[in-house]
Amino acid sequence: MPQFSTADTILDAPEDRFPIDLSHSINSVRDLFYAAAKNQWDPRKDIPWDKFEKSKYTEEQLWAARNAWSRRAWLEYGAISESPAIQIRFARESREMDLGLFFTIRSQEEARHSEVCYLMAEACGGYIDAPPLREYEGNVVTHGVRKMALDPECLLEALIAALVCAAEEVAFDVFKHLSEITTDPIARACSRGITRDEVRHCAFGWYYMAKRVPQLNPADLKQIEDAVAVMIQNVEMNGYHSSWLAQDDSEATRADVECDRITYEAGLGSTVEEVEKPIFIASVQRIRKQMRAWGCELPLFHHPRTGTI
Amino acid sequence: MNCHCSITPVPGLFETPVKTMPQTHSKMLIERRFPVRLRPQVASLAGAYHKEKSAHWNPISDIPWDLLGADDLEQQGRDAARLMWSRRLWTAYGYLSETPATLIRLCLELDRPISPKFFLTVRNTQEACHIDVMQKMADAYGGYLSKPEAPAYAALLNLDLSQRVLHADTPVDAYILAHCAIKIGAEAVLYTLDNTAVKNDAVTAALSLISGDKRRHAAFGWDFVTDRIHAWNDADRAAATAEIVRVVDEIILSGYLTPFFAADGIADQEKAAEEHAAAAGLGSAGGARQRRALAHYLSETRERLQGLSIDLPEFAAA
Repeated sequence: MPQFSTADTILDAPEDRFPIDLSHSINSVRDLFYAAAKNQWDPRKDIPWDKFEKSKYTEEQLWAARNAWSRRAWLEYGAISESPAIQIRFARESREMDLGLFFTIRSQEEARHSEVCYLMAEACGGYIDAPPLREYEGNVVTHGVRKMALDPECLLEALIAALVCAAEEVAFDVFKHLSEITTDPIARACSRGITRDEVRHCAFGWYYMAKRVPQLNPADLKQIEDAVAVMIQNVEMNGYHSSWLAQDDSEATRADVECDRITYEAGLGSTVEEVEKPIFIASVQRIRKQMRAWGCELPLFHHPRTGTI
Repeated sequence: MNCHCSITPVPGLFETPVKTMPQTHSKMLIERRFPVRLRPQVASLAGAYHKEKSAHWNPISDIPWDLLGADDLEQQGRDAARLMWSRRLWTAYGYLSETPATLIRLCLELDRPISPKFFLTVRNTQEACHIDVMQKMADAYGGYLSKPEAPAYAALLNLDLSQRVLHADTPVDAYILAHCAIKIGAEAVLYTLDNTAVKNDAVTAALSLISGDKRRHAAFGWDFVTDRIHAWNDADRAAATAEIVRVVDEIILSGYLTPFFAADGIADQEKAAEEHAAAAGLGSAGGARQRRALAHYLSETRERLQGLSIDLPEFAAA
């Protein structure tokens, strides 16, 4: 039986789309929209799948890579299931048109990323549509963005800071890192394609916040700090993008970390704790430093594998 | 239906009443994320998605803006075109929330195929391109206008479709048939028709791109329903009929898509502007041709729906 939520949302108030004011614009965001429109790519056509040398790899390596790329496909799918709610928020709050326009193509790019990860998993032997062990679902099932976007109590700027300036920034660093360490040319092409799009996704967040921060009050900034802290501590540091950061010591987590290790050693597009840890720590430190310029002071984050960041 | 319409005055031929829809409280499905089915399951829908990816275009480089020559027009022509493109943007703006809401709704449903979800992301990018083009056109002709002159026309355009499609009581198949196939099909008819009345290459290019997108978007809606129809029962058909009637009444024949169907006094300036644009070859076919085209379209749609065992009633204005 389907289950329902009747929580208050921004949709409870009637639409009032007028005036549709185009005089307040963020030109840098509109330029990102044009750049994205110009630089579209198609996972099916622009990756030379027929050149994937599957026979070079063992059954174990291919199995591990299938898992790794399937997991990544689930995360990217989450972005098309949840983040479009932010577009509804932009429209409901009559925010700058540039935001809504850019976010359309951003959602398309997330679909593209999900598709390319799916195709890579298929190339390795077959996409897997759910975690083999159910307890792992909790780590990858959601970052809560849809709920936040539709919640009238949640400040939009807090949501953008948490999702884009924190989570997407981490995701960009992950894919950039994968692009550098992955030796298989097809897996590397997948990572590079995603990385190129993620550059714009991150830029969007920082451009938007640069425009908005001067108009925010201390309570708003505190809400931003809290939202970002939750995203980093409870989502990223719980294995959302990197399985070695999952905090539960379950069989499912251990299996996932092992898959990543085997995939990494095969050069098929994963990483491991000892290689990625300094990159993740640097990501968090950079995010903290950049948000300090807004007047936000992120707390220290604790994790048994990274120590205090 | 989760809304009840209250209808005010008795309309004449081609006039539609102003309607008010009480807002209902949100009721959304709770997603069960796994399994995440990414393998294409329906060939026609997968084909539509792949075709859509190849149809991308760029609002800056794919329209010969230097041929627009807006400054060469006399003032009345510029004013008319300015209002016409602004009016188009007011309608197109709705897709910035309706399409993502439709996408989310499909993600909340259990076990829906992936291709329609992917398709909607591409569709929304194209809708964003439409808006960008409409803004550029309105700006070129003297400056985009942010709202209709008449509050009643503004009220008519506030349809709250994102709320409607996300509401758990709205049957999503019925919604997609009514809104994605039939409503967007009507838009395709209008943009295609308007493009037959243009004397300018930049406007022709813009309307060609927009109408081409709309035709594919509508075709996707029909493909979607064709895949689903075998599982429909009588209640599903009744729900679809009700949603289509709502779309025809409140959108296609209301003035939402074209001012010529708005009740007298609601969108008179917009009608006058588009009649002038029609006479001057600026990108409108005019009221008479639009009425005939939509009447023909509804007649064809009625026949097509009969093939799905859906009986669409006659509409006074059509």
